Formats: sequence, C-alpha cells, structure tokens
Amino acid sequence: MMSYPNEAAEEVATAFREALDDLQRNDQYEIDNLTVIAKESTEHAQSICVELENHIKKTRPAFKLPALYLLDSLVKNVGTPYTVYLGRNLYKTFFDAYTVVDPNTRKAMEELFQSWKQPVPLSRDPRPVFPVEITASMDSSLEKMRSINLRAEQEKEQARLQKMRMAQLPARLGNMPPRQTPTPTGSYGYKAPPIIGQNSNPNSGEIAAMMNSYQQPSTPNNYQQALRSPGAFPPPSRQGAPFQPYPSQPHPPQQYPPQQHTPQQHPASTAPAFSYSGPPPATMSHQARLDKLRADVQGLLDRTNAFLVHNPYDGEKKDLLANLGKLKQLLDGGQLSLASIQSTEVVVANLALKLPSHPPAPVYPPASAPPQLPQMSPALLAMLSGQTPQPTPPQSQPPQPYSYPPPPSVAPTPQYAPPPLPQSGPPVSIAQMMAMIRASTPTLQPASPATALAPAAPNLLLEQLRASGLLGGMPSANTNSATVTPVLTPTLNFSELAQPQPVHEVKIDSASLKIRRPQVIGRLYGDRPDQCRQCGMRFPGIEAGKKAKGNHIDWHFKTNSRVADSTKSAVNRSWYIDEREWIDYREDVGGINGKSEEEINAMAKANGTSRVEPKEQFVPVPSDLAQANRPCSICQEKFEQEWNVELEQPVWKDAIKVGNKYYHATCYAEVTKGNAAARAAAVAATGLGGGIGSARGSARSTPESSVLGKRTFDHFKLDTHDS
Amino acid sequence: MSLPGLSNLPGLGSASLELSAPTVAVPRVYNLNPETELRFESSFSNPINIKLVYGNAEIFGTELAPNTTYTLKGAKAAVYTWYGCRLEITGCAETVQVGEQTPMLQYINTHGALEDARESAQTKKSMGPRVLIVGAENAGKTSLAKMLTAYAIKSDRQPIGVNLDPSQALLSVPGALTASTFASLLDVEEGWGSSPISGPSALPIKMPLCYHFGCKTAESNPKLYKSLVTRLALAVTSRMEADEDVRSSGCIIDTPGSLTVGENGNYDLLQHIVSEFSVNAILFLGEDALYNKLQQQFNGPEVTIAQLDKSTACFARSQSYMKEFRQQQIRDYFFGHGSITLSPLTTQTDFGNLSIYRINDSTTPSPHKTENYDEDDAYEPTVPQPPTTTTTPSNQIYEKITPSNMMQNSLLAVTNADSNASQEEIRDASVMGYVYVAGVEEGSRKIRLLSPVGGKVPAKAIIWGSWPEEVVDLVG
Ligand SMILES: Nc1ncnc2c1ncn2[C@@H]1O[C@H](COP(=O)(O)OP(=O)(O)OP(=O)(O)O)[C@@H](O)[C@H]1O
Ligand SMILES: [Mg+2]
Ligand SMILES: [Zn+2]
Ligand SMILES: [Zn+2]
Repeated sequence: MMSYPNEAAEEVATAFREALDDLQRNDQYEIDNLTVIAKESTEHAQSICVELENHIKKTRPAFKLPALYLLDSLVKNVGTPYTVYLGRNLYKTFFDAYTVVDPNTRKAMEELFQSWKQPVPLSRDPRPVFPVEITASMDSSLEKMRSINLRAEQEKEQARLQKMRMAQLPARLGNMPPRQTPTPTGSYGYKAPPIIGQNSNPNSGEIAAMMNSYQQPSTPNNYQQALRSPGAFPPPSRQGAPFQPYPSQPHPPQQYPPQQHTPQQHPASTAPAFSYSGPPPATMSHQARLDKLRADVQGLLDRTNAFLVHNPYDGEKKDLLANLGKLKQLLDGGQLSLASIQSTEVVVANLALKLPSHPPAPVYPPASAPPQLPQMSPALLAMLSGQTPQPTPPQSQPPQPYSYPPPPSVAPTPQYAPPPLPQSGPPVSIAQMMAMIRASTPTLQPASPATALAPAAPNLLLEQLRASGLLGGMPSANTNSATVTPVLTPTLNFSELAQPQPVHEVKIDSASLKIRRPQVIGRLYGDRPDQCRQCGMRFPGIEAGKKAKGNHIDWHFKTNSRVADSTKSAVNRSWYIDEREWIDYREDVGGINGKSEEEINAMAKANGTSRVEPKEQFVPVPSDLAQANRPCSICQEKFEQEWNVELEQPVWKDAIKVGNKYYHATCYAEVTKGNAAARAAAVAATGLGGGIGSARGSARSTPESSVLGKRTFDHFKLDTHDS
Repeated sequence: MSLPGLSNLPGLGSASLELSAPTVAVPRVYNLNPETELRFESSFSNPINIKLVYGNAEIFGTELAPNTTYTLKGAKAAVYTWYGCRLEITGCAETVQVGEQTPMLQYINTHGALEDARESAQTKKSMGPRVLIVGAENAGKTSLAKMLTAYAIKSDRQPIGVNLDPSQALLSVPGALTASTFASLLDVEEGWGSSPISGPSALPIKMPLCYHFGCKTAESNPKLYKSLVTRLALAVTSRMEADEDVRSSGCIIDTPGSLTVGENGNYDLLQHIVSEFSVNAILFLGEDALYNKLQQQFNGPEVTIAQLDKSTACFARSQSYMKEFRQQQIRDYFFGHGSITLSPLTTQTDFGNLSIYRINDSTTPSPHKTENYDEDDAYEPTVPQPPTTTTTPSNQIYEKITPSNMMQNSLLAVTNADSNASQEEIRDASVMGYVYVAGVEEGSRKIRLLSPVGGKVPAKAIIWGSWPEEVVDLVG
C-alpha cells in the first residue's frame, strides 16, 4: 500500500506508527520521546510525516489532539525538514481533524494553529513556524467556520440576555471588560516548547535544554501554560489588535504575570468572545445615529467655517457651507429612515475626507480628487464603525496618527440593520413607513396625492443631497421633477403592491421605469435587515426571520464541513439530468432559505414525496460474524440490534448498507446530505418512497457520491435489488 | 460563493515551500457614494480581490457578504451600491473607476414591475412574467438577465433563466442552449453558479437543462435553432405548469446580439422565440431604431415592450478576450471554478463504440442546398470541415461520421438519445454532458476522450458541431 524508499525507512515508519497507536492521551513524555526519535531520524522524515498524517487522519477523534501536539512539537523543536513535509498537507491534516472533534479540542487546535503563525517563542528566527502561504488559507477557512459557530452562540447569548433583561436581572455582559487572561487549568501535559532555533538544527546542548524544559512543568511561563488549556482561547482580535498567543519577541516572563481569572460560575463568562468594546452597531438606536449624524454635519459646518476664515474667497467652500446648512435643516427637521441616514453618513464621511482638516490649508484640493481614500479621521472611522456617538466635532480632535487596523473577518462592522421596532417613534424602514402611510390612506387611487407623494418622502434627503450637489451621480432634471411630482402610471402602481390586484400583463413603460421608488430597493434591503455574514443573504428582522437565519447558519456549517470532508475524494462534474427529470425536478433550497429539517420533511411529505426517515431504516444483521461485529464506518459505534417480526430475523436499527459497508442511516444521511443521488438511493433502498427522480430535490444526475465512490453505486443498486 | 482555501491545498512541492518573508499587499480603499458603482476589469491570469468593509454592495444584483474576499478572474464588471459602501481592492485591477451614472434605477424598477406581475400570478396561480431581453452585442443583456434573476431570487422567487445565445454559456459550455431554475444565491465569482457535481458545494448547485446547437450564431442554422427553441420552450412551459413556485416566478430569456443586426433585426427568429415562450414582456436594451420597429410589431395586449438604457460601462470586448472567456467556460465545466476543483477522467475507446453525428449546418459546403434554410447571409465560412465520408442528403440535420483527426481538441455533446435514434430524436434530446477529444489515432482507430464522469462513455448519440471552437491546451 505504502511504498518506502528503503527498508530502513519502512522500519522506522513501522516503529513510529506503533508508537503513535499508543499515543492516546496528551502524554508529555511520549511526545518528547517521539520528538527525539524524529529528530534523530531526519533522513526518514518523509516516512515519519506520512505516518503521522495518516495517524491523525485515521485515529478516532479523541486521539487526534495528542497526535497534533506531536506534530506541533516536531515543527517547533526540530523544524526543517518536518516543517516542509508536514506543511504540504497541513491544511488537510488540520481540517480533516478539526471538523470531527469536539468544541474543546477545536479550541485547543485553534490555539495550536495561532501559534504556527508566529515565530517559535524565544527563537531568534523571526519567521513563523509555517510559512504564511500555508497558514493564510487555513486562517480564512478557520475564521469562516468559527464565525458560524460564534454567530450561532452569539444569537443564543443575545436571546438569553434578552430574557435576563426581561426578568429584571442586570445584564452585565456588555460592560464586562474583555477577558484577556485565559483560564489556566493545566489539563494538558504538553506545552509549546520555548525553544531556540527553529529551522536551524539545534545543537545537542540546546536539545538537552529543550528536553529539560519539557520535563519541568513549572517553567516560569504561565502565559504559555495557560494558553495550552482548553477553553482559554482569548477572543480573536476583537479589540482591533491581532491576537498573538506568543510574544513575538523574547519577553521576560514577568511581563505576563499570572492574572486572576474570572471564575467560571459567572454565566457570562461562558461567552468571552463576545464582549465588544462598544455596543454592537445593530443596537445603536436610530435616534443615536441621527444625533451622531447631526453632530458630524455640525462638525463639517464648523470646519468649513474655519476654512473660510482663512480662505474667504473660496466660492466652492461657500457653496458647500450653504449646502451643509440645508442638510442640517433637513436633519433637524426630518424623521429619516435608516436607509437615508446610512446614505447620508457615507456622504458626510466622504465630505469629511475631502475637507481639509487642521490647520486649514490655503489651497483646497480639486473637487475631482480621486475616490481613493485610504485614511479616515478617527472620529469618522469611529462613526462609521458604529461606535458610541461622540458629540465632539471632528475639528476639535487632536491630530492622531491613525493606522488602519487589519479588519478581522468578524469585526463588528456596522450592518445595515434597523434597531428593533420601537412602540412609537419614527418608522424604521421604508416599507414600514409605506405600510403606515397606506394604512392611513385606504383608497388606492393612483392619482391621490397622499399615495403619489408617499414614495418620494423617505428619500427626500437623498434628493436634497443630490440637488444641493453634495451627492454626485444625479444627472437628470427628469428624475428630480419626477420625485417632486411622481407620475405613477396606473399600469405600474407600486403602491398597490401591498394588496396585489389582478394585473393581467406586465406593463412596463420606459418613462415610468425612470421614477425613483425607494421602496422597491427597500424590499431587497431594508425589509430584510438581518444579513448573513457568510454569503450575504438577507432575512427579515422579525421573529420568523431570526429563526430562518439560525437555520440558514446551521445549513452553512453543515455544508462547509461536508465540503471540507470532500477534499478527501475526487469530485467530478455530473451528467446533466434529462428533460423529463428536469421537468419533475424541484429545487431543494429549504436549508439555505432557512427552513428547519422538520419543515423540509414536512414539505416533502406535503408534496407526496416523503422519504423514509433515516432513523427508520434498517438492515438484516449480516450473517458473516466479522461483519456482524463491525461498527458503523462513520462514527465507529456499534449498531443497535432488534428482532424484526415481519422479517423474522434480527435487524440493525438505523442502518444502511452501501456497497459492502454498513453505516448508521443517520450518519450516512448526514455525510451525504445535499447529495441528491445518495438520498434518492436511500429512498430506493428501502423500497419505499417515490423512488429516483421523484423525491424532492433528487435526480439521477449525480450517481456517484463521495461516499459511494466510483463503482460502488452499481454494487449498491445490486444490493438493493437483492434484498 | 467560494470558501477561500478549501480546495487549494497549499502548493504541493512548489517553490512556495521556500520559507520566505510574506509580502503583504496593501489594499486600495474606495468609498462609494450611494447609487454609484466601482467598475473594474481583471485578467484571467491575475484576478482581482474585492472586499466589502462597510455598507452594502452588489455585483450584478447579488449582494456581497461583508468582510468576505471575492476573487474574480477574467471579469469586466461593477460593484454597485444603493446606500453607499467602502471597498478594499487587492490584486490585479488595472482599470478601476467609479461610475456615477448608471441605469440601475430602471433595472430595479423593472424588477419591481416583474414582482408586481409575479405577485398577481401567485394569487391567481397563473404564469408569471416571461421576459425577453433583446439588444445589440455588448449592450449588457446578460448582465441585466443576471441582475433580474438575482433580484428575483432575493424576493424568494424561483425564476427560470434561459440562454438562447450559443456563443456564450450558461452553466454549461458555449454552443448549448440552456434553461435552469434559479432558487438560491448566484455565485458572484463564477457569474451564475455550478451545475451538479458529485460532491458537496458551498452554495447549492443549479440544475440546467441543455440542448446542443453547435454553431456560433443562430443565423448559421436557423432551422435547427428554431427547433431547439421550440423544444426548450416546451420543457420550460411544462416545468412551469408542474412546479408552482417556478410558475409564478416566470422566466428571463437572454438572446444573442446578432438578432438585432440588420435593418429589421432577425424578426423571424425573434417572432419565433416570442411565440414559443409566450413572451409577454420584451426589454430592449439601448438606443436603436430597431426598437421602434419591434414596438410596432410586438406591442399589443399580449406583449409589453419597453426600452431600457444600456450602461455606459458596457463596451465591445476584444475577440481575444471573448475567446479566452469561452475557453474558461469550457475549462470550468471539466475542472470546476473557484473553490470547486473537479477531476475529469480520460478514457480511450474504439471508434466502433461511438455513434458520432456531425451537424449538417449551413457552413457545410454542400452541392445541393435546399430550400429549408431561410436566412443565409451570415454563414461562417472559416470552420474547417472534416472529409465527408458518407454522402447524406443535405436536408438531413445530422450526418453520421467516423471519428477523424479533424475532431482533435473539439467538444462532443453526449445526448440522451440512443445511438441509433432518428435524426429528430437526436435533435430533440437534451444533452447529458460534454466530452473533449484529447486525441484521435486513425491508424488504430482509437479515440482518447476527456470525460467529466469516469467509466465508459454512454452508448448514446453524440453530436459534433462547428462550435465551440477547439480548445488546444485543455489536457496537458
Ligand atoms: N456596470 C458595468 N460595469 C462594468 N462592466 C459591465 C457593466 N455592465 C456590464 N459590464 C460588462 O460589459 C460586458 C458586456 O455585458 P454583457 O455580457 O451583459 O452584454 P451582452 O449584451 O450580453 O453581450 P453579448 O452581446 O456578447 O451577449 C460584460 O463583460 C459585462 O460584464
Ligand atoms: Mg450576452
Ligand atoms: Zn449565508
Ligand atoms: Zn454511525
């Protein structure tokens, strides 16, 4: 099966493999031992790495972490060539394991991974353990997976807080300082080595020192020790600075004194990763944003005024001043939709950038300055990132050098998300505003001024901005006049959308299509304020939308793990389905659209294409004794047996036979979900259900699943027919 | 959408293993005002990376997820924002510029009108709008089709997208006429998405139905074109009848620009499409005298026709770009796109195992051309022709041939018709998929094929046409 360059290599590999099989817990001594062996056999490094990778892949989830610690030890203590060999498959090795282990192990793996992006602690070599080309792609995948989890937990946490608030309990989470100190529990024996010389082979003295440090758990570096503990992963770069598990330069240990850790009994401490420095932008109220905007516009006014003091003849700035005045009036007077506010924020931010700050420069840069604006003032950045409004006008800000922080992919970027609908107060979205207007004017006469003017109202601000020249890109007087007196043709009356009236044909005419109808855009944005951070899909802010989004996030997670798993086997384009199948095909998008499993099944049932629940599938217990003792190949657990009265023989519950292998039907369904063929096959296998092509979302087009492999699909069909 | 890194394991045995200091690309930051767009181009070898860091933005109607890097290669496109946004751009992007004047308002209003019609269709359980997009070459038809599809998906619809332009592909390869339902997010990086593959994918796959036309322009074989339009329309209509969600959503039909060439355009083909698909809304893109003519012809109680502005950002693309674009579509079919990496297989088989039919299109130099061809100005004389081995009446649609060197590097369409099916059966059969001729050995009568799916090539009728053009470097 595996070919080795020579006998010696095979011998070493075999010895190493056997040793690996014994590595079932995080045993410092064993890991050291194996590290020394590896160190002394660098000429067989390749075989050793293959063994290690295979072991990590094949061993059961509980044993994966110790093996990964060994990997960590090899790359940090021996370095080349182990870094090179292990680096090749690191992505796969890591994620194959990551997807199947429990949350605690995941955390530990994340910590390991973080350390691979850094130089070896206390090493003189400034390069990271693994080159950035390798870690970058891992990082982004990891971030993706983690953000799904975080998001889900976060939502849970928010729901919980909501409940707490309602119960009049003080919700302190939001005010808690971010937990910088991990909880030292010391449950893992292996610690990352504080070793010198990563890629240069250390001399024997160094090795001795290294081994000593391994043997002394009391190495005075509590920080590192702490990092090894599960559940102690500090929030990844949520405070702006990138998370560094290790000091990148040698630091005396006392720089990381053991800090008292938050006791675990506080419920909030179970979610340390969610403490933001500021309130999440979604909760910044409509009014607060408006106030902030007003303050910013005032700031701009002040700045422009200041500028004009020095440059009294700058006509452009005078115009700007006048326009800003108008804008301020609008802001002071108007009840503005969130969309308008958001748009205005951008305009104001851009203006602020164009406006010379302190001290006012005598010459104003041309208005046609390139749109490339790499830096923003701290105040505006703060504003744009949705932090607490600071009424201080930008003018009075001290000049601070501001460097753009590397945006973490789960950074609290403001979302277009209206706050929860208040009982009274301004309407939160255009659509809601529209609904209210409609409710107050029940007659749906197109020519009625109330109806006709309604669409224009929420966007008045934008129009004003355009008219005043603060906002570019609005060429036509056509549009402006249209806004003032909207011509709503009877054939395209959007205000009737709420109560769809029988319209026989689409009536689209060129003039009507040029009218600005913010509510049409709002339907795609503001009405669905809750956006998925992974794919950009939007969900309504209402309760049902929240639930749908939760299911949607689950769907992502499952899909992503399946995609990660599938890197093991070759994937190919399937044949297209034929005409008949295409006509009978129904889109299977319940998951991504946020339907729960139950809803999807219910829908399938309603369509008369119910499929057998995996749980209810069973197979006769194989007569072959060896087979009968084998566990499920997916989860490695035994099957549950029961006597089937009809068949008059024992059967395995929740089981399915694919090729010559047996799986739990639920395990199998989980692995192959999304693979239409497998599901159709599962339906066909039990001889129940609608059969191939008629199950919802099934088609014959994908006869080869990653689990089925190439030829086994035919075997499988044979099996089905036999039984 | 793709998850970066899920498929490309860091460079096996490549030079990247040299531990070197990382070079960090500094992103260029663009702040866009509301209702403006950032237009960009990127080459096929050097993609552009786009990240939305603040606000909302969409590419051809599909919204970007925040703080997610999208990688687009060989793209000419724009990120549009309704409410303003900030973008970070890295990678190749020689021409990046802000566009302030766009026809987006008209486009989204069009969506609004279509939604209106869909809503009404839903309550009445009738058919939603059947929209035909017409316009000159490079007017932005395909982009508009994509946008309207994306907006419909966002509005929880399941429209059918139809591509009647054989020069470009929809979820397939050029030369195919395709229909597909769209129920979930389009793939911003790929354009539309991916047809089914044998493993999982991060976004739900799209399910196309394909027929092989095998010529570059509709005009070069109008008779076959019409037959296939009829067949495709039949399938689409049947699907709409059977599938409630699809029915009320309607369909969006993209056409080749060549239909507008000439004083009257190709009225014959347009008329055929309109009647076969029961089109009830025609969107005409761009200023053109033809619009007025079409308006006279089609406007009526059954059909509404409207003229929409075309984007100033749409301009003619070079021949070489278009060729690379098409070849990329073929490559994507076999090898996948973005995070999806596919492994096609090569198989060798005897000539005798394949039933190959060559399309008897008007490019065939034929001694007795018959009256069956109505339009014959637009012939393409440049396509190399295989030696005619059998003499077939030229009014036949296909001609059965033995493989020859001429087929080297071209694509063959494997149909669902039996290998000895009648001409009409072959024509009306949808396509199972495409195989690529990697090599022909006339001496030993063997042919080497690159096939998306392993195993024997199905014993079906296989069509060889003059289109798509050959791809030289598909397999090494
Ligand atoms: N707003 C835009 N900004 C930048 N590029 C754009 C924009 N809209 C469309 N394009 C690009 O312009 C080109 C022509 O657009 P498109 O393919 O939609 O036109 P078409 O009418 O379908 O062309 P064809 O006649 O070839 O089918 C494409 O490369 C498209 O991506
Ligand atoms: Mg096109
Ligand atoms: Zn999502
Ligand atoms: Zn199992």
